[in-house]
Amino acid sequence: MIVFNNKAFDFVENTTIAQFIELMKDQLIIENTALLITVNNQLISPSAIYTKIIYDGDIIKTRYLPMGG
Amino acid sequence: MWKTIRIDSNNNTIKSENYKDEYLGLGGRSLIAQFLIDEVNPTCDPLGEDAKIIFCTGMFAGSGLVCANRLSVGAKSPLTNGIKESNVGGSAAGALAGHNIRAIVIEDIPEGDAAMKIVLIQSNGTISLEDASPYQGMNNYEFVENMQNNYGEKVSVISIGRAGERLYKNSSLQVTEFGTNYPCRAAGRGGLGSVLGSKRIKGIVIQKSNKKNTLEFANQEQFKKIKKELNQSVIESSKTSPFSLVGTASTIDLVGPAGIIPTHNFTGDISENIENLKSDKFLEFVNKNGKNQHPCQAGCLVKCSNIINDADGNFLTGGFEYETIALCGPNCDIYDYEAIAKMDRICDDIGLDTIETGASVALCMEAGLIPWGDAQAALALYQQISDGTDLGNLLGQGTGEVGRHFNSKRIPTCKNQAMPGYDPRGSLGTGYTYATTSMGADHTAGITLGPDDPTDIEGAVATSNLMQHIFAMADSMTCMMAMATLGGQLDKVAELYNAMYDGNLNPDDLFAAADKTLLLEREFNEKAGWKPEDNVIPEFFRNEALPSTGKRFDIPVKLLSMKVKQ
Ligand code: SF4
Repeated sequence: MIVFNNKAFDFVENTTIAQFIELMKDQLIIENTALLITVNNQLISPSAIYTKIIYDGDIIKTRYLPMGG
Repeated sequence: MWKTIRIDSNNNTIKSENYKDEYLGLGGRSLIAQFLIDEVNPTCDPLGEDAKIIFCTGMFAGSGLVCANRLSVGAKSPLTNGIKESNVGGSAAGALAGHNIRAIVIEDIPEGDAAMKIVLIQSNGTISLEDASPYQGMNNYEFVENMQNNYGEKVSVISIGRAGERLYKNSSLQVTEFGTNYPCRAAGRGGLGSVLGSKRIKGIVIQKSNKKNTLEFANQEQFKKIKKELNQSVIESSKTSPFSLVGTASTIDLVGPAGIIPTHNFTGDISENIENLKSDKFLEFVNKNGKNQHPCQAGCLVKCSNIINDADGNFLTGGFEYETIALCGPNCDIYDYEAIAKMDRICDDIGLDTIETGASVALCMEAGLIPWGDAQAALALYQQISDGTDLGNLLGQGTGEVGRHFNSKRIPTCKNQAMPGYDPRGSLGTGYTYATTSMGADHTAGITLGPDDPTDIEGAVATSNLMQHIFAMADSMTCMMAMATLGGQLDKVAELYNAMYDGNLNPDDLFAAADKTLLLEREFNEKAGWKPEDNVIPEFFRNEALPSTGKRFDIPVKLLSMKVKQ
């Protein structure tokens, strides 16, 4: 099981964070993939999501990239 | 294919140089950092002969990528005495890219009281220095009008007003906006207008190139395909983005009630008048005579800008942004869009950083020079800056100098640069950025604001470090509004880069490039004399609690002065 933004989802093996985020977008859980992501409270760089794999039990939280003008 | 134009302002020579191979793939902020570290002695006088001012387009300028026609201006800042990169939209970067110009480097200073010059880039690519003496003393709107009369209505202009001519440390460079062609876009921070003024250059005037776009791509088909996907993603996300639907003023809905917007010289006292500035009121104000959703540059699909007209329907200002509203408005207890828009116009006209100026005016109010909230009295101060009175000259020296003049104990600066529109007690990570970035207090160096902005020190520091990298990346490629979507597709951005530059980068490499930019900037500042112990947040943010949350800025001084882990 993966907890994504406080909701439970099935764990999918051999999935990168980026692929999981894409899944969440396809399911309309999130609108935009430009995110600050923590996995088990650890902040993950947006460049690392393409190589880091998710593990069963991971707790993933996201927030939109902070921007301002 | 890309060129660097090198102008010696003392000998009045212009050279067109082939672009260095090792600079290929750099752009905007990353290129500024590399140029400055390679060519400028960090200990130089920012307004002296060894200083240079550099204009660079972003790495995808002219390519049709969304929001990529961004111009970075870089120099040693006379305000912070450190490296400064200030970037701006408008029509100039696109026009330069049309001439295959990636960078303009202006060096040296003329001897004595030389007449000012204009750098003229003609449609056929000819570049010359023209006499600007008839325009000396003019502010930006009148200057641009003259340039349009002389060189064509559609010219792009980068210019300074009286503030830059008088070497004010809060002077901006103004750039004409796409569509309106008024000089309402500002490379505002760090007083870089004065660096151009010290070289006796009034402006750079660019006619549209009469050649077809000759940008080279390693794989044009691939580039087009990825560009289309990325642009489409920005179109999609813009449908719900408040920056697109309202503008950057939408930030007030979050930071106003939360007490994060600076009010009453960063006391954080929340006024019920903040309601006057929320998104609905902003839209009401803008759409009364003007419009929002205006693109500041060709190829913008987010359109966070706007056109503000006066009561008679005449253009008043454009690019009316959150930072201007926050500092010139609530920070001075002014909650009236009409008055703040006038301040924006006068700042753009004189060529002043609205953040620095708004923060300075608040200090005048705190000192009792004019009453709090008195918009007319504030506007009269702006006029004094334009007129160059003694008080106007003081205000032109920046917030730090104004505060010291009035013996204020509450000067909201880091590295002598005024804080932008987020109180560091209300956004701890943003405060960490203000204190630690090489740019001085600067929101474009990496804010952490928003729902879930960490309130714990560890989270705030980690988020700030990450955002400092993301902003360094954005500032080299596109405006940050586009990065709010592209930042989730760094795999495709890397592919886009490879298709243009024949590279072999992956997302981690893009991050590593941002890291290198930050390291070069830090190296420059260390050589310029910045010390880790200079990384401080003014004491009053530690001693006074933010009224809305009761929080003080509590990141330990020691943590701020530690070498930032890149
Ligand atoms: S999003 Fe805003 S700042 Fe960026 S290019 Fe468009 S109008 Fe300019």
